[in-house]
Amino acid sequence: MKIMTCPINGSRPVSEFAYWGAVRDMPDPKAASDTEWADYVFNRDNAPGVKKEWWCHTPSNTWFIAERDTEKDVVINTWLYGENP
Amino acid sequence: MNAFTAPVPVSPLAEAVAATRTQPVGVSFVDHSLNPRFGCKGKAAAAWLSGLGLAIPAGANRWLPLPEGGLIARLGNTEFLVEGSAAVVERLHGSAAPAGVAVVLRQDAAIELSGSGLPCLLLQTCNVNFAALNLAESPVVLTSMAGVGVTVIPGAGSYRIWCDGTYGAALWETLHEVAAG
Repeated sequence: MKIMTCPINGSRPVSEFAYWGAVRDMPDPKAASDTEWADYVFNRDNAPGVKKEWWCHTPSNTWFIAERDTEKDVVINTWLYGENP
Repeated sequence: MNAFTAPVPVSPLAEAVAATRTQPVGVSFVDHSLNPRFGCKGKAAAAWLSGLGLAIPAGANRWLPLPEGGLIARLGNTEFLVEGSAAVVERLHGSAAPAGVAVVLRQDAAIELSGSGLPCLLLQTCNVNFAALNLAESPVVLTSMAGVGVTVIPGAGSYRIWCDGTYGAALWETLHEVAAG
């Protein structure tokens, strides 16, 4: 069983969590070119490695950030948005 | 002319309760869904409730009893569930929530479980080892039970469980089947 640690609720089976995509900086919609905006909306690098991702502990609806090595499938750290990892 | 008649509240568990009249051996089920209840969340929720005279659990996922009966549970850092006397709950519903507080509609299915078979039932349906919890810390556990997201307050003799009312019948019937198995 894979275990993930919610910053609020503690360690739980990964079945209690939902993945919601990589944490990415949104370009300024008014300043970005169409190419830059389309790249932000549609493109992902898909390269394995250490990524920051949005996850949600679904029973409590707690959203947080997980740093995960997608190559080794290891969760390195988790923290609430706005807090320091 | 017909006089207006207020709708009679019906528990989301009413049909499930009627269909499972026989209690399984070792586990007792009680439906508390119609208890008066209030929910709110937001960065200003703790200060607002405190200003209304309620004691606030100091940490996330903790609960406190209310002097008038009932309880206040802190769900995460900034969400609260109050269940207690009609007077307390009506006072909260009647108080205008300030900026930074959002009232949460609570139409929960609320169940109380007790009995000697309860530890076994929890082990079969839930991911949390409740036996390892320190009840002196008044823990609130938000987890998944039989696939349904639940809020659980474990007690010495009985456990209180809340879940989305639309999942209540499924949870009630599933717990009944597991307990009877």
